[in-house]
Amino acid sequence: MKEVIAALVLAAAALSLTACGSDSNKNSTAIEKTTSAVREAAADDKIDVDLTAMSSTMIYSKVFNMVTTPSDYKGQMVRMRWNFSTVEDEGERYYACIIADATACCSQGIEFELSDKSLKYPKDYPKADEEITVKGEFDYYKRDVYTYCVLRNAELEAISK
Amino acid sequence: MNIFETLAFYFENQFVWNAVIVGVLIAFCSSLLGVTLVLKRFSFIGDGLSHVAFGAIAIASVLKLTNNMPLVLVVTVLCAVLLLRTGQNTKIKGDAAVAMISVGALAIGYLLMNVFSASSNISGDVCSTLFGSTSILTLTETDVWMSAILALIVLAAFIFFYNKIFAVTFDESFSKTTGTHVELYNLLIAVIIALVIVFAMNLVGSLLISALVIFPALSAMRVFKSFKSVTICSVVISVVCSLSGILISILAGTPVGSTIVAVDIVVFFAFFLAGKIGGRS
Repeated sequence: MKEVIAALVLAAAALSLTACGSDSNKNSTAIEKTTSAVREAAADDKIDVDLTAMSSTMIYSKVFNMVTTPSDYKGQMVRMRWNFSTVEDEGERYYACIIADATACCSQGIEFELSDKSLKYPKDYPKADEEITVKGEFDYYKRDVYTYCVLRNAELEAISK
Repeated sequence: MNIFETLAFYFENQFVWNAVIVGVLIAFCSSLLGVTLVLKRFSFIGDGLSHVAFGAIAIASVLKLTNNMPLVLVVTVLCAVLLLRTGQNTKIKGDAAVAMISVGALAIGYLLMNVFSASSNISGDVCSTLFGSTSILTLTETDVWMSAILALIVLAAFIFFYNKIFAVTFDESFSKTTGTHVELYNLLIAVIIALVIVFAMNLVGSLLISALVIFPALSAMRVFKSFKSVTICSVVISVVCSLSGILISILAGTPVGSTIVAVDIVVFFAFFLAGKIGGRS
């Protein structure tokens, strides 16, 4: 019985590896090149807020907290995983990681700016709604009356469909 | 990480503590009056008032009020009084009045939010208010203190007027003949329940509030007999269910309000079976 389970687990792992190695790699070769070296070097970096280790309810609440009291989190290293989103406004393109709440009727997002400014959209970026894991230093800025949160010097650690 | 390590990790966040404290306090308050409301056939007044509160929130958002709590409280308390007065009017029966105000407030609230709201995510705002998806996890310290004050007021009123509430709950006519101001105590109950409803919207959203009021009382009634024992058991059930619901929802990533209500339903069936086995139901 144990052998059967082990075989099934190995087969599932092999299949998932095959899946990961298909389209997402084509789109993100440049990102991986750029980030892999940094990722290795930063593997032991201190993560202050690791949203990837939380349940969806907790992630949403934590992000809500970060967005409403951004000064409490300024300068902290944040890692988050959810869907990629991008929007162009007045000639400038913004990238974000969007998190939906448990009822999927509300969503919170945090913008990110990749450290490698040479990466171009769309070829070097994930597709909309692809799940991404991004890490960066939390910061915020004001525009008009609104406050926006952003992860500076961000790295895309993973992309999965 | 095992389940305890995960919980310990989550409890490093102040907002989780806030959620647990407020959740327990709201559960405590709602269940304390739940027995009275169920026995007086007022189970749906909570539902009606919560819809009124939703309408008031819509008005507050249209008026762009940063703190909508005072307006929501005033409107809900006024409607609670109105419902009580209308309930005594033979032209519009109590249940019809509750239904009328409930549906009317819900419709007007949604209409106002759609026509005037500046928010880019109206359906999200409405959904969040109706189902309280995660609002309990987004509370401020002020909310915690206000809930604590509310719990104290409700507890003090319940202890101080326990005998009168007991009398009014079981036999209004007899209470009247003994000189008790029945209308006054009914008003007191309505005002307190309006206060509880406004705060409970944060926990389970306006559509699920009735569950907080009804389920613990009904569960306790399956097993216990006296008003006192039913009330105490109801409070314990409500607090335990709310606490369990919050913990399950943050661990499993489920919506807080509906998880609490689901736990309430499970406990109701457990008490129902216990009552059957014990020969109570």
